[in-house]
Amino acid sequence: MKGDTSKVERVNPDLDIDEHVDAQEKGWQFQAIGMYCILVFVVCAAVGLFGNGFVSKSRRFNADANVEYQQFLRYEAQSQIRIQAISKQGLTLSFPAEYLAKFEIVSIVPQPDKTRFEESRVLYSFDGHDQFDITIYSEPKHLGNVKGSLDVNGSRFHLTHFIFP
Amino acid sequence: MNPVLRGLVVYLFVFIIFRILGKRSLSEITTFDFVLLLIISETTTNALIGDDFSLTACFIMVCTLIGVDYLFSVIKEKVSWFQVASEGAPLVIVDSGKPLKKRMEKSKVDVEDVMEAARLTQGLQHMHEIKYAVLERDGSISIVPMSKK
Repeated sequence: MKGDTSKVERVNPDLDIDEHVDAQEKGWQFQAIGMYCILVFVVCAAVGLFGNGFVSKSRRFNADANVEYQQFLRYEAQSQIRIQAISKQGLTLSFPAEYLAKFEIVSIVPQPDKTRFEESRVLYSFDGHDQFDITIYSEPKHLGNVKGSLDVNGSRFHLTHFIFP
Repeated sequence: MNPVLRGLVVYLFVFIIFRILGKRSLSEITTFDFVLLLIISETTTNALIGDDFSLTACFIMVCTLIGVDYLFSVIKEKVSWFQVASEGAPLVIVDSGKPLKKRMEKSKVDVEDVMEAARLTQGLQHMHEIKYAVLERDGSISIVPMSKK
């Protein structure tokens, strides 16, 4: 063992055991790599690579509307889309039906005054004027990439998600 | 997700995590470790069953976990390298009264652990009274005392 401190001691005990020292050394290497992987996984989760963090948070906006949503979601874990908009004659939000089929809408706050289906899109209409602040709570029911769009009074915002299992 | 697939994925994940932690991780459970284990099992349960509380889902999950565990035990019996890879092998950590430092360091065992095992199992007081100390596959330390002349 002289000059090599990384290798473990080799012994020849008077015992009826098979130590598999080479395999044990591979096992220790696996443990060390595994601990680094766990660390990387936790850091990625902390910054939001698996949802609920600044890496995941996405914002789309124009002059009249601001849409905030999470890009990375987890299967059946509740997430939210927040829409802030200015309008003088009510507000209409619409999603493609195909997009909504991949989510379960848990609630919309405040509740829409009217819901209708038109040209393969689901429309939610809100009465009122000036400032609107609407939050849609939903749960993903699909895995992998999901693309969709949200129309806010006709202005289109593209939404992309990746849903983890 | 299909409950069988869910059970299989969770089993493999827990299996790999505990392999990474090493054999000493569960051999000596402190009160905190015990509480941590309860939290882990509770978290795992949620991922296993989701919001399906039916008896059928429960039966599927129990059968899947027991089935995979049985399959693993059969493979371990038939394929020796798989047993070594999954559970490790016994390792001598004290040879003729001399602690094998590198082996102990890699296995996360210290002299205190060895002396504790020596006191508890053999009533030994000193390191030079130990002929061999072996870290077993389950993480326990077995002591072979020096033969009395």
